[in-house]
Amino acid sequence: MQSKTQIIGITTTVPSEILYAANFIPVDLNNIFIANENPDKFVEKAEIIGFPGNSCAWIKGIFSAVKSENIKTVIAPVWGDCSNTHALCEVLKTYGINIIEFAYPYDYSLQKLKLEMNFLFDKFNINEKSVFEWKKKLDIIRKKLKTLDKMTVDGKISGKDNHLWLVNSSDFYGNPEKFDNELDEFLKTNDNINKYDDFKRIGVMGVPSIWSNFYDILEENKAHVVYNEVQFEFSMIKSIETDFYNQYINYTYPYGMDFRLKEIIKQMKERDIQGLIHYTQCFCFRQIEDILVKNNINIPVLTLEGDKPGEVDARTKMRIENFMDII
Amino acid sequence: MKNIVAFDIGSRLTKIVRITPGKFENHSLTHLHPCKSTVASDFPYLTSLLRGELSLSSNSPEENPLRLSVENNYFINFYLIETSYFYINKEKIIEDFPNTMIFITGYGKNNVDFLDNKNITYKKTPELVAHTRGCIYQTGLNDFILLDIGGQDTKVMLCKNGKMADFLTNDKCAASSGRFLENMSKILHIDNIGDYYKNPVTLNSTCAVFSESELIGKLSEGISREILAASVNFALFNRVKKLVIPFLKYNLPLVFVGGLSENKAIIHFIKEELKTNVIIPDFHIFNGSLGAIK
Ligand code: SF4
Repeated sequence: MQSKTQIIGITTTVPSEILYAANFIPVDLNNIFIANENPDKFVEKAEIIGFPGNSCAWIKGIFSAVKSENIKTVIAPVWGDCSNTHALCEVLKTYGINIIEFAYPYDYSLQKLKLEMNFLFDKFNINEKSVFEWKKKLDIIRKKLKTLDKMTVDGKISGKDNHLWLVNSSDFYGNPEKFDNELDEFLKTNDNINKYDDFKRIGVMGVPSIWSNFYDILEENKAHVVYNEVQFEFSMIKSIETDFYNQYINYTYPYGMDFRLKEIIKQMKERDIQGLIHYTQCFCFRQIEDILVKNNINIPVLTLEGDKPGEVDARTKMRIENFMDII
Repeated sequence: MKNIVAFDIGSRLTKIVRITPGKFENHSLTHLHPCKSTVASDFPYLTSLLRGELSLSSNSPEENPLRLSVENNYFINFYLIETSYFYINKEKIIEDFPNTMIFITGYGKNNVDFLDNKNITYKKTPELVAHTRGCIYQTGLNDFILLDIGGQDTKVMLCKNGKMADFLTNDKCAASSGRFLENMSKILHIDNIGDYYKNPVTLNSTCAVFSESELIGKLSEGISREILAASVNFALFNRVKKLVIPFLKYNLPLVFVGGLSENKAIIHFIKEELKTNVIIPDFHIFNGSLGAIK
């Protein structure tokens, strides 16, 4: 066991059960970056030390978040998440950051995933049992998130709130108890009224958008987001009934597009989605995957591309508005 | 109301169509001078549009606000101004249109709140929808592919059964827009760049700004300005075709509008390379403004 609680930075979803069992406080570096008042300064700082202008802004934001929070240890999936994480980790190492690497097996093998997880158990000197116990604890919160997600589908909660709650469940604020209390409060004060009757039902897939007012613009255009794909995956709410290992095998995001698309199509049906927005990040390898999205989804798809943090640009607004007209 | 004015506020140019009943008179306004004028009766579809006979509006012809008196002839003026000029003088420009129904489309349509302060009512239409509709008005077609190359961007729309079914727009970069040609003509010191299409050579740069130095390099190698002008057109065509090709499978007529639809070279390349016929409506630059009228 770790002797005293220590902050650990995460670059994407890393099994929080393990981190909490090991007495870490996980901090999602993406959230630190994007929730900052001046996220563009984060990008700028990374560019000054040499990150190329034509590289992904999230990676640059993560880099600067590590520095700004003075984080000493970062755990990062170097396989199955982002092709840039590898280089990011190498740079972070030269800045004296302790990097713990692990991998989601690309071939989607439960056996290999178990090995990876067990490697982490050993590394942190914890046992399976304590991890399973944490899963039980976190699943209580996840059940509430599931209710929240259902309420979004029913038009009682906005796509933006859905996004915020689900995306923040990647680290539960580093404080599950606080997260749980605030979630209770949020659900309690909800008026339970369907506010989106005359809205079109939209799904948003892809990495969370870098725009500060994306969901507001969608609402202005009468789009109700009933499915935030990656955020939904981060939240693990579809795996409350499954065991710990299978939860991270069910988690589609780090594995191939094939598997991910199957889940998306299933969710689109269940949520009765009329149009799908594929958000892509400028310079992200996942932009290539758009080909597969277009070839496999048979409802209207709008592919958007965000670059630097800030508000939605005029071109994107124009495209959203016209997309809403064709669906 | 007797008069109609439609604005297509583009990222570079604002295209205005003004429709007034009566005979010819000097239609220069305090801040605007027409670049083109016509009478509606010369174009049957314009008359139909103004009589509310085109069934695109959800209103029945009787309730159509546009249903103008059949006896009147209508005089139509077209104005083309810089969008920056429009914003600087917007208050005064609007004063030139009393007693007028106002229709607005284009990028700038979300920046016209000043009209609300003046208690002026107006109708907004999303840009691509306006383009599709303008094309239906002008060509009478219900199924077509519409290519619009403007000053800063390129859009391709698929229209089926009189409704936009899909669209693609260019990447963020201006290299597939009119601005690219404009910059290149300056470097080549050629005014009518669109006239050249013979023997193009390949320009490799993805970036429009880097293309400038590439072009200068080619000049230094002794390649003629005519060939380079053709090459610039070809480079633009090659960027634009990526947006058009996905829609060719529908086997529909291709309608070409926007500032560049006067460019002979682009039309030549579309016909030769894509083996498709090109229809250019009468008011191709004002297609969006006409389509905003509903
Ligand atoms: S947006 Fe793409 S490139 Fe950027 S961090 Fe995410 S997965 Fe990596």
